[in-house]
Amino acid sequence: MAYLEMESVEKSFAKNRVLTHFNLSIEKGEFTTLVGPSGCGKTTTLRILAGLERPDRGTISLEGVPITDWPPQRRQISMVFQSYALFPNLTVFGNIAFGLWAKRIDRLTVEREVMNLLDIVGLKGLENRFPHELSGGQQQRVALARALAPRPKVLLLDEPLSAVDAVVRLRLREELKRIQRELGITTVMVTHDQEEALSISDRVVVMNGGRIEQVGTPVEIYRHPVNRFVAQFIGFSNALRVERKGDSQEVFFHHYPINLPPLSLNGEKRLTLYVRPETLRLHRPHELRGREYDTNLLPGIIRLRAFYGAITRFEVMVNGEIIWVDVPGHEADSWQEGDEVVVSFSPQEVRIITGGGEQ
Amino acid sequence: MGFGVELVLVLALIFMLIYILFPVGAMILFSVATRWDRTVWPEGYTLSAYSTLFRDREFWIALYHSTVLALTAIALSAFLIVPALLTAELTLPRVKKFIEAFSLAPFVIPSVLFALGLVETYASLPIPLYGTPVLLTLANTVLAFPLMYRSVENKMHTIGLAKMVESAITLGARMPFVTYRVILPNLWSGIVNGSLLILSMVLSEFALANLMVGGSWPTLSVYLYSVMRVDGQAASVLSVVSFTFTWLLTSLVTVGGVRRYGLS
Amino acid sequence: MFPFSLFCAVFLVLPVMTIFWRSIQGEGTITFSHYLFLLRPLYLKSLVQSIFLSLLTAFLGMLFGFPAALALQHLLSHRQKNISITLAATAANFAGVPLAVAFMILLGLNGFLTRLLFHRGFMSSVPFTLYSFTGLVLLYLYFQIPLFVVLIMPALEGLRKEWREAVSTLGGNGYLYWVKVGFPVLSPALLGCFILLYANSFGAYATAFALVGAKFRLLPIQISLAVAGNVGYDPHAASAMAMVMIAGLLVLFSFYIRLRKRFALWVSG
Ligand SMILES: Nc1ncnc2c1ncn2[C@@H]1O[C@H](COP(=O)(O)OP(=O)(O)O)[C@@H](O)[C@H]1O
Ligand SMILES: [Mg+2]
Repeated sequence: MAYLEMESVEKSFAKNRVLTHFNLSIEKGEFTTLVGPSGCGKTTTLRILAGLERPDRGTISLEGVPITDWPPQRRQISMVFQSYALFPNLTVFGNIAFGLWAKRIDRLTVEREVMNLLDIVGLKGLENRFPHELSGGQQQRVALARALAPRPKVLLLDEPLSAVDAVVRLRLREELKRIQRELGITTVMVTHDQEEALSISDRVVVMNGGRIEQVGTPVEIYRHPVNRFVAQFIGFSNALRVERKGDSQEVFFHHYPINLPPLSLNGEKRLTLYVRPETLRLHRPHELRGREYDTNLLPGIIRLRAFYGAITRFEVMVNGEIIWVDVPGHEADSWQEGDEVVVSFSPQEVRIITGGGEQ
Repeated sequence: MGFGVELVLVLALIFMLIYILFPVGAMILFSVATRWDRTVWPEGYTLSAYSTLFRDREFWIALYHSTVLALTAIALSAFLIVPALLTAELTLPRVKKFIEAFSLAPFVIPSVLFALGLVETYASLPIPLYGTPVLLTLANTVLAFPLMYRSVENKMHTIGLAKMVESAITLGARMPFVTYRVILPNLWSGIVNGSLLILSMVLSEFALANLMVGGSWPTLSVYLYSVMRVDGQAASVLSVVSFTFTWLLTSLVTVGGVRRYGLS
Repeated sequence: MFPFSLFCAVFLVLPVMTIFWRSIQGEGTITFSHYLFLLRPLYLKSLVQSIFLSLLTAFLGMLFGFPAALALQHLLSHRQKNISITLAATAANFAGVPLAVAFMILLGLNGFLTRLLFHRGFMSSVPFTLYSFTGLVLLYLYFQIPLFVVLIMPALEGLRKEWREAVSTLGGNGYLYWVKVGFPVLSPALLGCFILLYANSFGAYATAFALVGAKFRLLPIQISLAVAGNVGYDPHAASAMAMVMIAGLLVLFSFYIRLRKRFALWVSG
């Protein structure tokens, strides 16, 4: 049995069903991230784990013990709220010490523990400040230290980085990861930012409309999305709607034949192929002689180029449909808007999702 | 919360509601009683006290006086405050503190002191204002300032009027057009809100009216005071009317409008 | 802008300056002797009674109003809450002569409750008269309790649900929440509302005048006697008392504004 488990959990608010048949297992020491569009039930999942919300059905267990009916006080699960919810009347010290006061721990120990935590989150010297005297990033660290202080079994983080600006966000992300590793604490984080989810987690749970779409390591999720939603929500993908002629393994994008990995088709007539823009290449039409036999080629015209720094993204019009191609670094410099090009990609890079043409 | 604590809270709430409703109930009962001084419950019921009051010429005169007072105070305070507040908000943000200080000053100066100041000032000046309804009107206007100021200022902030006006101007609209098509329509509900608070305040205002003009130009509450000493039942009828009116106006204003501090 | 300033100058600043001038105006010189009137038994008693009445009714208003407001916020449905708040706001605005009338009918010499207790033989003689300091306290509470409820309501709404939840995930119970977070966060708002209640009753005139008449020893009533030009009432002494009242209220209000800023910082920050 896993360390923390949610089994067949259901939850509705009035008539609005928020979680449906929700099963999740989390291993000890793991950093798990729930990612999904806003309103899909991520916060509700965390609140159910913390005991702030009761599930309508299903069980939660921690270390094999069912805790579904336990109040939050008893669970030893800490939560960092999206708005931090720092106590405005208490100093940084008071906020961090709160969980220790609740346990009636003696003063000297409280002081030592708080100082230790201040050190871990890098806030030494700010213990006498009030929350409104801190920057967003500092408040975030206090919230984290406060949640860690009572040494919880599980740490829950609700979009912890969404309220700080971009530069601070990246630094805090690294630090969060480091602290989690050092303490080895089982962590469940919620985010709607898929890049954040990929970069920080051991395992990613992709949610949509109150259901789990896919669970896996960041690499699995990115490279092998199991369905349309995951393919489009995680990372950026071209979606090519193709048609199959008869029963053969041949499919066509408009009238261009597309080669697929061997034996990948079963009965479907219409399918969608997902191809990441960074796996596509651009060529001049005359360069193409002598290419590998099974490479897919689509001729088109560059409509737009957008410089992203590390890559440049080209919008290529192929038979009236747009295909995005990412070209790294200086390589991109030789392509201009209006150029006639041929887009190529290998069959190995194609993810096939059956169930066809209509969205 | 534990059950014991909840019980205490509920009891406090019930106590307050009874405290509010009990005197009002007694007042209503008294106003429709034929006679109610020998028995525990009224001996009979009649509406005659109401019809007597509504046939009393002095009542209508007092009502007329109070209405004139209220309407003038509403109009004057709106005309003085709204343009000043707009100018401050849109062009001179630094002046706003000053306008706020003056608008809210009546909170710090109880009306008796205000009456003292006005009487001491204008009794000795050679202009014929002392003891006239005109001075009373102007005094009521000052008392109305906080109510109009709070309502309009509140509205201005919640809708972000400054940004709205700026965007109208960048779209090429001229100031008169902006005033009639953007500012006034958007502030209107704030002005109405303030006006209702002022109406409720002036209709029950007693200190200024009694001290500055008294019986020579009676307003509703001065009239009620004189009636109270001779005819308890007529006074109860008037008080019922007054409570009903306060209640109606309070319900019209956004929930929780308290006149004295202009909170809404 | 300009009309407003002019109006304020003539009808607000000038009267206040006149009061100030009268309070220090001597025979051709400036004098502070008018302020010594405050030490005379009549005025001293009035000052003490005004302060005591205001402190007492503000305190009782808070004592009854705070739990009532908590009940409104936490135990009632949205609809019930709105109805109750409208009623409370009405009562908070219902002061002066009609309030005195209502209480006379209920508790006057031949009032309904008085008679009820008397007839049923609970009392042989009437131990209580409405036309007294005690009666005045009862009347003031009629608007003070609801006023406290209406004023404290926004502050209660400002207490964030997450604070309570954070306490519970950190292992603390409701008691710890109220002791360490709830009450401390509310305390500036509670004190601020107390000040408003105090000021509300300190300056009130109509209710007391209608109930106990022009001879009662409260500062606003004593000052009003000078306004009405009664013989034996010196406008200079009245002005000195008025200045003391204004100064006191100014101090209280500046304190109130500080408290309000503190609360706003906490609750929005
Ligand atoms: N206390 C509540 N009452 C009613 N509906 C709620 C409540 N909390 C959340 N919801 C609804 O549940 C859905 C999921 O909310 P949430 O878990 O906060 O989503 P997320 O965190 O993924 O953005 C939303 O549609 C939201 O409106
Ligand atoms: Mg959320």
